Formats: sequence, structure tokens, C-alpha cells
Amino acid sequence: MSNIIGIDLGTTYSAIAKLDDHGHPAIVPVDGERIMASCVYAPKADEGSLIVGSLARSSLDHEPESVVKRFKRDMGTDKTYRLRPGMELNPVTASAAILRKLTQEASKELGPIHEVVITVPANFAERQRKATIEAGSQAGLKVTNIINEPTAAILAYAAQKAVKGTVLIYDLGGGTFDVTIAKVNGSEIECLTSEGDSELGGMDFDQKIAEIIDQKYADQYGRTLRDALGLTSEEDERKSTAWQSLLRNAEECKKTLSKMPTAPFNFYEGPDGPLKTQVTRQEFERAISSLIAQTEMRVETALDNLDLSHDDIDEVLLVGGSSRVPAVKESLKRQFGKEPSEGVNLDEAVALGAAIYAGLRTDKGNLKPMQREKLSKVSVVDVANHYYGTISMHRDDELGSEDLRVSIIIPKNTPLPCSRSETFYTVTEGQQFVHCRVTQSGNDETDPEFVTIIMEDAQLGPLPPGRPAQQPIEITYSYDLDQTMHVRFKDVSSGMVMERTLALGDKQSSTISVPDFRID
Amino acid sequence: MANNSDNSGCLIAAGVGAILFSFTLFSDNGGAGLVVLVIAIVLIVMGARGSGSGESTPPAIPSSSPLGLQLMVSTTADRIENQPVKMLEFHIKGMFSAHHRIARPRFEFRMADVTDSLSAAGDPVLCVIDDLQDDDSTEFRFKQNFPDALNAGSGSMEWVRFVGVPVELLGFPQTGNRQIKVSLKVTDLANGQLIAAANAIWSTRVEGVGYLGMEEEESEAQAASLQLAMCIAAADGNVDDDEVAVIKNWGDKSVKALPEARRMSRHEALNDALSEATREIRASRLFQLEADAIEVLKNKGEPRFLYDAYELCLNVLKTDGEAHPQEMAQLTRISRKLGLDETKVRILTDRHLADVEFKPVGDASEDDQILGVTDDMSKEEIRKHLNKLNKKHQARLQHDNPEVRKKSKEWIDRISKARVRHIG
Repeated sequence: MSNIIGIDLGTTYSAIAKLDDHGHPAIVPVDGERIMASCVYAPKADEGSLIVGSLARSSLDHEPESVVKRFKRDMGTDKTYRLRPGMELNPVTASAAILRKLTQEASKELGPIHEVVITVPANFAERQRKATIEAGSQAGLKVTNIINEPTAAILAYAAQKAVKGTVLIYDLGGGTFDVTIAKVNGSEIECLTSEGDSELGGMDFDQKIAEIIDQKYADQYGRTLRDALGLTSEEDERKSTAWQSLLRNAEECKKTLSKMPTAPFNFYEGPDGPLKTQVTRQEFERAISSLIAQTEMRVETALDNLDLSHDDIDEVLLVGGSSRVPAVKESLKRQFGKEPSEGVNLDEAVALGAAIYAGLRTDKGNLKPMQREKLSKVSVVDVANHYYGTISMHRDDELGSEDLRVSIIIPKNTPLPCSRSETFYTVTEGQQFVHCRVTQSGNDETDPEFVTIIMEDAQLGPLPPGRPAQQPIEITYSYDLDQTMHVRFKDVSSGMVMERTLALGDKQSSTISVPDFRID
Repeated sequence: MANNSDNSGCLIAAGVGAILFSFTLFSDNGGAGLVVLVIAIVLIVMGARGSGSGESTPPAIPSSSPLGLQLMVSTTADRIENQPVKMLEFHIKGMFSAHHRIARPRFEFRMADVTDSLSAAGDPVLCVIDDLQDDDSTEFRFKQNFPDALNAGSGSMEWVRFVGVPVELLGFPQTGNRQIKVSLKVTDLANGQLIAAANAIWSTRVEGVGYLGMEEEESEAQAASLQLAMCIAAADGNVDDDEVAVIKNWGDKSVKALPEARRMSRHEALNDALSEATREIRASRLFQLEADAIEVLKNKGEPRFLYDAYELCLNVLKTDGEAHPQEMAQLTRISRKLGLDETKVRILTDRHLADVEFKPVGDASEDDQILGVTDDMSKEEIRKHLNKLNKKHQARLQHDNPEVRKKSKEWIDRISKARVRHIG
């Protein structure tokens, strides 16, 4: 029987959890800590070695140019980080290093780990999900499933506490924000909708504090710290020892401000002299107000998706380290008129839920009797997190115009699995080919320019010649629980069919180069 | 979203239709053994000489193949005598019967606007070049006779570019987004027999005025559109040369689209409108000018006039590559006063302003103007409006294109700040 493992691959911290023999999820500590910094360090002094975790994080103080962090934000892009000559990482290889470290350390205690479930933000797009799975395979793991972070959190919550009703999960992590609304009845969980922002999290709060300090430095020395350090780009900031130190102090300052009304801020690395100052909670809250406003808008949008009001939510569940910030709790209290609950460990819930999900998705023969017993009561219904459609010609009678539009076939928030059909018609007399395209978008966008086309190379045809226009073409999309979507384009009168199975967020042949490295 | 449930029918862009938008589906390498004939300076004809006539053998396919003769049309940007020209290209592929030789082949193309009825013959497309006109009218008709016979089984499995026509030289019956049916007939002049036929639909946006247009109505609407465009141009306190060029160009094109005999009066009408606009703007009566122009347009009751006017305004606004807050505010006001559909406006605006830089960022009232938040909106209306905008840009934050993501990020920042200001 293999280990049942869930991993929270976070922007700032990651964690690994197992399902114990009794079917309870439990964190497996790494290097003696329950969560591990998502940092990768390639020391200049030791070519070929790659250090991951808290040691990598503390190396930001003396060798920031050799450290990469926060790469989750770049998942699915072609960004690269040059840590030293001959050592270049990209978001996938850096994530793979994190996954390898977590599983290597955990396997010291648990024995070999082959299969894992990895969590992703609910609003991660296809390319970001694919990159996450790719990172798993590069770490030598079989990623049996990926699960949305808020869904994992609610699983962990429901495993600990009797929950019943409509729950809003407010997941504000280090780098991403998700809000999910779910119907929960004991261990039965039905996700209804998710909204999120994959570029909003605690690191943006730190950035705001850094900007406050930058301004205070300018007030004292007549130029900003950025100017004094000659920083003009993000890359400059990444490589600056002083700026990285400022950001680490900012994170500490943020934590202090969660408990105290003011926090001292002493900074000695400015070229013009030291800065001894303090940041008040009020200053901090003013600086992050637009970020809080953004989370409020996402909450309202999630409610709107379901035609619910704030009053319809029975419980607001906090997840993610950044939801400790008092301004966040106050914002929620203001919106919902009640205190949000912290029923789970904010930093660990996602990994714990992932371990439960791994148990649900693993082969039943892989489970011990007590695990099976425990999991038999748990059920999760997830929803489509995007809109899936096709591109067709659209006529506007009023304007007398025709143009290409996206027609949605599976709308966002449709419970999975699902199958939907729509009928379209051929345009021209004698038309023999139908161009079959599948689109994905985060909004019910109608302009083909703003959607992602996830299948565009397929054709239905040649269809029988000589037929008049307006021949019905039936398009069916079936979205399965295992993140695959079967699409079928059928010419109704001839019965001719074009079918494909699309792997949504599944493994793809990788074109990403993998550097040789080992983990120490 | 309306699709097949809509009685007008949502038609799938596919087959020949899809070719218009996705060239990648088909290779277009011109084929082998082509003879280039130059008929007129602006017209290039490439004829497929019997490519199967002995020396090169076509891929063997049965004569009963369902492939038949296929026609595809596309537009490309070309240069003729160093002038940029939008060319309408006709491509063909397919195999002729393996049993019959075509002694004196003739290829004949014609075009008709079939937007309002896909099956009807439609209204013909006109052409200004004599060589490309029908014998007794100005209708577009391109006939190409070949001196050599086409052997049995001739043809090409690749798309062969047959002929290109500059779009500007065509006269369309109506303006706006049109469906032009292009048809090809291949006949054997030796016996008058029709050998093969193929059709393709070309979806295009016709600028200017269609010859069937409601002359007087259109003239007045265009005059008002020009005045509205002048208001947009003047919104930042200065009508510059580039803006003038856009407005002038639009007017010129509208005039040119008319048959020669009717151009003079339109010319005068538009110029009168421009003179009036100039006078009013100089006299600081911008607001009144805008209100009057909108009134005229609305009274026409013809949506295509309204959207054409709005589109012209967008074209003027984006001339300098920047969207100034005053301009955006004015644009929002104009679209509301014209009573335009929000979705259509959004689509038009997105398309036109995709590459435009929104300036400046930071000043609250200017940001509100950019976001379309106005003084008369209630707190609840602002909240809903911002949520809707935010949802759109959040979705785009996941787009494959980093440029789209970057722009959305800026929007989201602007929207969040506006929320703090208005909702707290």
C-alpha cells in the first residue's frame, strides 16, 4: 500500500500532509517545521547544489540573486530565473524542486512516495494547472489529481467540525486569493462557485509596507530608498540584498501589526544612513485598502454568481496565513455582520484537505479498512471553474451584421461531471467542412480575442456535398471528474462525427528544459 | 448569450466560412505551374494551367470524390506601385472529372451581398474597373478564358491563388458587416456546358456608404457623425492634424463609395457639417454641438448609423495612441445618450482601444471618468458597475497573452481604488 499524500504548493509556504492509518489527515514536518518556505537557493560556492526551504529563504539576506521565491505567480509563463551561471530555473523546475524536497523529507518518515494530490488556486487557468502537474512529474511524482485550494480547505474543516449550511471559504494566502461558496452537510461537500485573484496575497501586503518605508526614507533623506539603491526594475529588486532585507522586515512588521497597533521598523542598509521609524496599523490599513476592496469585490461576485446575499451565508471560514490581518477580518465582519470562523489551522488546512482528497481519489484497494470507513462518508462535488464554448458566427438582426462570437456550452459553476449539447448550423450552401474549436475563459466573454482556445486544429468533414446551408451540427461537451473533457461535433443528418478527449490540466509533453541538480 | 435559440440562427463559422478566419487550416502555397497574367495595373491574375496535363500528375483521387471544386476567399494586405492595397484573394482547389476533358475552359466569378438572405441571389457587388465589369452593367464579373484545354482529371489538392482584386475598387450595396457570396462557375466554351461550381462566403465590414443606402438619411447621419467625431477630437482642448486626418479620411471614403454622379452633393453636405462643427467648437459650443449631433442620429432610428458614428469616435479617440480621461468620459456619455447596447459598445470599445494607453492614472476624478463612474450614479449602482468591470478584467488576468494580463492588472488596480473611494 502506498502513502496517501496531499501537497499544498503555496506561493510563500508549502506543506505536505498524509492520511494516517485511521483516515485522519496529518502534517508531515519538513526540517522540523510544519510548513516550508517556498524558496530555492543555488549557492555560488557550491555548484550543482540546490537548497530548498528555510535555509534558502534566509540566504536572501546575503545572496538574494541566487534565490528564487514567489514563482507560483509565474506558473504557466515562460519566465526564467538565472540563479548563477549555468543554473537557470523556471517556475516549473523551481516548483519541482519544492515538491522533491517535500516528498524526499516526508519519505524519510513514511517510506517511498509515488502518488500525490497537489492543490492549486481555484481560479488557476489551464496553463497554470498544466504547469503544476508538469512540476509534479519533474519531481518524479505521479500527480493523481489537482484540487482547488478552497475545496481542500473545506474538506479539512468538515473533517474536524460538524458543519451544515452554506459556507463561504475565504482563502487569502501568500500570493493568491480565492473565495469559494459551498454547501456542506457533514462530510458531504458541494462546491457552488469560486472567484479569485491569482495575483493578490500577503506578499502584496508586504510590498505595501515596503512602499511606506520607501516613502519614510525619502522624507528623511530626500530620495527614496529605491533611488538610493538604484533599483529600476523588479529584477533589480530581486537581486538587491538591501531590498530583500526590507521585504523580510516588512513581513515581520505585518505580523506584528496583526497583534499590536504599531510596529517598530529599523532599517540599517540604506546608503544614506539608518532609518529608525515605526509603522502604525492605520498607515498599513490605508495602504492595503485597495487590496481589501478587491477581495470584497470578489466576494460580492461569488455571491452574485449564485444570486445570494451576504445574509445567505451561514458561516465564513478563514483560510490562508494572510487572513490573520485584522483589516481582513474587519472587512468580513463589516460585510457579513458576523465574525468569521477560524475553525482550521490557517496555514495547514489546504495540505490536510489535499491528503483527504488523495484518499478519495486513490484506488480503493490502496486504502486500509479504517481509512476506507472514514472516507466512505466524505463526498465532494466540484464545479467547472471556467466557461467552455466554441466560436461561431453570430447574426445581429438589429445591426444587420454578422461576426464571430464565443458561444458558451458549459458555463462556469456547472457541477461536475456534466454533459451539455447545443445545436449550431452550417453557414454556406455546399459547406463540407466545419472548423471545430473549443474555448476557455474566466468570464462569459463573447469576443474571441479575449478567450483561450484550447482546441483549434480539428475539422468535421468532408460532409456530403450539395446540401443547402443551415445543416444542424450538434456540439456536445462532457466534462468529467478527472479533469478531462470529451468534445463531439456531429453533423446531424449524415451522422458524421469529430470527437476528441481533451485533458484539462493534464500532463502534456514538456518542452521545458530541466537543469541537472541535486537537493542537499 | 443568444445562439441557436435565436430565430435568426447562430451560424457556425466553419468549412468555407471558417477558412476566412483561419488560414492555418489550409496551405496556400500557390501550387505549381502557374502562369501569371497581368490584366490591369491593379489586378493580378494567377491562372491554374492544366496542372494535370501530362508532365505533373495530380494526386490520384476518384472522380466521384466529394472534394469537388472548392473556392476560398481571403483578404491580404498587399502593395501595388508602393501603395498599400487590401486585396481580396480568390483561391481554388479540387479535382475535375477524371473522365472529361475541358476543351475551352472558362472561369467566371461574381459576387453578391447575401447578408439578409443567404439563399437569395442577393444584391450584386459593383466594380469600378471596366475589365472586371459585366458586359452591360457595372456589376463585378471576372471572366478568365484559357487557351489550353484542361485534361481529364486535372486539378490541385492544394489551394491555388487564382486572382486578387483590391477591395477598395468594389462597390457594395450596403455598409456595415456584410456577407458577400462569391461564386465561381467553370464552363466549357466549346459546348457551353457547366463543368463545376463553387461558392464561398466572405464576411466583411463595408466602410463608407453602400449604393443602396438611404441617400438622404445617410447623408444627414454621416454629417452628424462627423460632428460628433469633431467633438471627441476637441475634447482634450485641441483638434490635431492626425485627428483631422481620421475624420477627413472617413468622409472621403464615404463620398468615394457613392457612384460618381451622387458624390458631389454628399461632398457638400459633409463639408458643410464640418464647417459648422469648426465654427461651434471655436465658439465654445462643444456641448451643444454634441447634443445636436446625437439628436440627429437618434432621430434616424437606424442602429447602423449610431454604431458607425460611435466607431468613428473611437477611431478619432485612439489616433494619438492615448485615451485621455476627458475623451473617455465623453465617449461614455455619447454611447449612453445614443442609447447604444452596452455589450456592443463594450465589444467595439475593446477592439478599438486594445492598444491604447489610458492616461493619466491616479487622479481620482479622472479615474472615475475612465471607469465610467458618473456623479448621477448611486452608491449601489457604482458598486455593481465596478464589480462588473472587475469581473471582466479578473477573467482577462488569466489570458495567455501577457500584454492582456498586464493591461487587466492596471484596470483592476484602478477599479479597486475607485471602490475604496466610493464604497469605503
